[in-house]
Amino acid sequence: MRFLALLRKELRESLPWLLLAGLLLLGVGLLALRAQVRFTNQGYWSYHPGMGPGEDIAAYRLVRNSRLAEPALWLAFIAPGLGLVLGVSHFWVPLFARTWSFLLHRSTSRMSILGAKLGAAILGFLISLGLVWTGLYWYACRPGVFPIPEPIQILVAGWIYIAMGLVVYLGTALSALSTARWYTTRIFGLAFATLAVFVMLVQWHLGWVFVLAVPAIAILLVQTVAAFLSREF
Amino acid sequence: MNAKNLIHHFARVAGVFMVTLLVLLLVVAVQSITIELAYLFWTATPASSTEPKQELTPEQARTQRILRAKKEFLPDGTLHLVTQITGNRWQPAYGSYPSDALTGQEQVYDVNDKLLWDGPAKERPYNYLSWAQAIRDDGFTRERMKHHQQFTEPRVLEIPVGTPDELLEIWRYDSWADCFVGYSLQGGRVGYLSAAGWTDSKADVRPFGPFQSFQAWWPPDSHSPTLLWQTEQCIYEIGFASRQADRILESPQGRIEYVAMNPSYRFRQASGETMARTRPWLHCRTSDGVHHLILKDPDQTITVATPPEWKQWYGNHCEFAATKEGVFLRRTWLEYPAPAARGNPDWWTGFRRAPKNQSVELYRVDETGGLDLVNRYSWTLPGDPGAIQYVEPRSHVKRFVTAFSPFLYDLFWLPFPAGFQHNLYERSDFACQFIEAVEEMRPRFSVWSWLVTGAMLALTFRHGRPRRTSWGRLVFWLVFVALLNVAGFLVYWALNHAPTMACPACGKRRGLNRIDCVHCRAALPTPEHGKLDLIFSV
Amino acid sequence: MAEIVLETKGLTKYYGAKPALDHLDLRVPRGCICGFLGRNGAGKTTAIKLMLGLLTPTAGSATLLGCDSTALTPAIRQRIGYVTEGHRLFRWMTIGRLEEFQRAFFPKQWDSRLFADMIEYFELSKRQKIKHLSNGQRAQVSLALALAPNPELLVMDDPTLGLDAAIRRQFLEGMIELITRQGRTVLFSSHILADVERVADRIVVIDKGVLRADCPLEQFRASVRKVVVHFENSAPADVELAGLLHFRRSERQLELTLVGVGDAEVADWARQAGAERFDFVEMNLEDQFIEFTAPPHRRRLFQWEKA
Repeated sequence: MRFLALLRKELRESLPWLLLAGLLLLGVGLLALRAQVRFTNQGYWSYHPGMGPGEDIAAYRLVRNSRLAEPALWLAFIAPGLGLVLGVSHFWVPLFARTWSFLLHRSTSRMSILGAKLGAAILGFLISLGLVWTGLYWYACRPGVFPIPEPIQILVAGWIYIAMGLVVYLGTALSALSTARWYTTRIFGLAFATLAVFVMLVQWHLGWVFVLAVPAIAILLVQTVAAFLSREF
Repeated sequence: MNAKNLIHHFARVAGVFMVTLLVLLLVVAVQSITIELAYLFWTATPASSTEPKQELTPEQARTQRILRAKKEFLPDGTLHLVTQITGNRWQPAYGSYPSDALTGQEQVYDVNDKLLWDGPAKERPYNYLSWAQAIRDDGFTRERMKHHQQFTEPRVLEIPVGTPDELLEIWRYDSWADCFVGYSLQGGRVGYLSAAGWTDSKADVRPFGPFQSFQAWWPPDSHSPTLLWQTEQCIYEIGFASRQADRILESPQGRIEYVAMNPSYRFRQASGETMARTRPWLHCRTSDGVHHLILKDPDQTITVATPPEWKQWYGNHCEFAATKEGVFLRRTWLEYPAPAARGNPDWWTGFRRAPKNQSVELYRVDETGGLDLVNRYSWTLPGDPGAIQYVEPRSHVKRFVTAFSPFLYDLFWLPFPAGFQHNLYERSDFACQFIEAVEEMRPRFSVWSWLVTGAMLALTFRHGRPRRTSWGRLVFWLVFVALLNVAGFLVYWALNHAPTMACPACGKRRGLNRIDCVHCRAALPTPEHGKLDLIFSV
Repeated sequence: MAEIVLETKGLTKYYGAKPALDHLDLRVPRGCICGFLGRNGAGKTTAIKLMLGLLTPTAGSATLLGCDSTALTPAIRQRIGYVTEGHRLFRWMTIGRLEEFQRAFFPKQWDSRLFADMIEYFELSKRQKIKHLSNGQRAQVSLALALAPNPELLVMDDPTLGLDAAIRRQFLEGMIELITRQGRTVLFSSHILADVERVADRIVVIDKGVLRADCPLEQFRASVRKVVVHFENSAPADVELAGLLHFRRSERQLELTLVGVGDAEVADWARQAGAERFDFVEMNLEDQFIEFTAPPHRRRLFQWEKA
């Protein structure tokens, strides 16, 4: 009951940002899909001029972006942005508002308090971004919307961007919990998260590079937990 | 050890790893920036190489003409030297001029320097053998296919099947299954095209194999594009309208390195006298040095094994032509030993400066792949003495800057499998640039390096001694700093910043991260309560 | 022997190389209302946070209700009420929602009626958002939240900070009413001495992190005294008297601040010094505190005569 109270509190506190992120993704996704539907309805050959019998065909004419490519690109920014905002809201704002003392003097362990924050963040990502993204993919694959269903790779790509958001969230949390000065090691949490996300985005074509999200999350998570358990407020 | 202690231990290790990674990147960045700033402000001075412009002697003019000429063969083996005349005729050039355009004026000489013809290129009266053109990749290279095969790839490769008025099916390349999946626009799947041909069951699919490139064209008698799909050891011709995937070449012995084909292979059109005389053919060269010719009209496959000394490199290459009369091979080669590995700059300087003999040979190829020499022509490539020597300013600064590099440098790659660094270098531009930048910071183990490391060790010891919680930890950090040099010291300093104070008992500095003094074990000083304090505890 | 609910032994906290709290030894018995006094930066908040496990001591220990402060269990925290400095609450919550949140942590001991009564007493509404409340109103809500679970030990860090006199009076009256109801133990820090004087029965004085006084309020009041000694001729330049805290000298007068010095000792000294007469000056707690914690260099601030 205590954990639920904490979780409810964190979710309620994060609600405006989650709603904003979810609605933004939904809006962008639906607009992009509608534009794609209009485009597709013009006919395949109308946007492949010059492709016909007796022609050499350049490879790029046979390659097209997934219809969810544009929303995916937005998601690649929305997810880390949401991670940053949630990290600030969960860990920085109580520092400035000086509400940590009140929160920490709950009849529950520090681990529960931290767990509620992390749980709220994960739930928030899952619902506001994960659910919306999966919904957009499902819609794009519905018969009659587009000639053929979209490949599953784009769905996977979106989920990976959501995981990157979690990396940024943990990096922000670690920076907030550090007691060092900005120009020394305090920024390292955020810097590490940014580096991990940057490498994953720039090197996305390497595929396996997204596996880096797992050790990045593990490294940041264990440090965040340790910092929270031992930090002085 | 309870859970909390375990978490703290892991967190400490994770923290050291994270901070070390970031600090190493920071140090490399600062080193690179320092070197680049030196390059910016310390401009290179080219060696003086201006030579007065001279009028060419007749012999020089002849040499230039031969150098610039295309060496074309007639079907009977006669060699002509074809030169295109431009505004800048006889300008010094290395190699021959671009060969594609039939524009402008041409001159045709024979091997005895006799002018045979002079006029517009499109009116040239000679029909030379036309050679297969290397298939263009259109940017869809092996690297690009690797992108498609990633599970996050947002782009799809799709082949339409239909009429110009109506689309009937779309075949999408499934990068995970490495096959094409057909979808009908009425709904549902229509089958799979893979190395096993067409099948309606996914269980029967066989992947094409490691991708190299593909070519696409639309035959005049078809309802959809045809693909020539090249993998490392096979070539497939895939027709989507006919739902066929024919393996036209398989080379289990060696990887396919090079593929060329002539236009009539794609369109089977006869246009122009040259096209009417040629047969459609595909030329493939595999890594074992064997050439495979796949010919049509009639269908025929010829395998040509060339001697080892014909191995392809900068100056040596083989091309094929096939007419109704026969199959021919043209070999161009340089009398200069190939470099042992990737040539270093000094090797290339020497190569450019040395005069070399170049030859072109025409062979007739028989059905068994045997070669019969028809004609040979040789000329001399003069050396290029004008190579400019630059004084590299970065090397001076680099010597100083690399004194701060970590000694642990080569051990970094140890945990990764063999070839990982090379693979990364090949597969990613970003990784390639990063690896090159880091390679420049390789420590040179100079006196400066040892001095800098010694200074870092001294600083670490001085900082760490009063703050130590155990000798073991201090020794760990000293070894860490010794291996990572400046980066190691920065990591140590970032993670160990307990305040100190002078111990009232022994006077030495002691850290406040432990209760007792590290030198004399005295406790923290207690305050003196004055006689005027009103302390009456319960 | 009274049960000790709060005990510190050599409790020390260093920030950098300077001690914010230096070897604090303190024992607070059950049922005591203990005023924790000190100037700004004396170490009061540091001490409270160390006791509640929000800070880690450099040395020493603190025990609350028998539990070490660095490992306070949820069950122990349930028995401790805490009013934070500045009454920092979640601004986006309403009072009602905050009550729900707080109640979740005290499922069995939450006194809804007490909370409602207090809110009504302070003329607040449960629908009001925290961000729309004034400092005083927030202080009242904090007190209600801390008292509704009926804690055995109530720790308040400067609860009247920033409140005007009227609100402070109202707050204290509410506090007195509720505290004395069930004999709770209270530790509250303040630098408003009038508040302490109204409610505390024991005071603890900290000066620059060091404990200077730990005694019943009445004992402190009785111990710290000021006497004005009149001289016919010139007053002596120096004073040698056990218990002298500091003195001020004018032409014919000496103003002495003394600690733990009886009337007889003062009379003896005055006679020996050749004083004409001496008068004790009435001091309130604030005056006594200021004099008791004045820095040594101020002892000669008002010496008009040139050396």
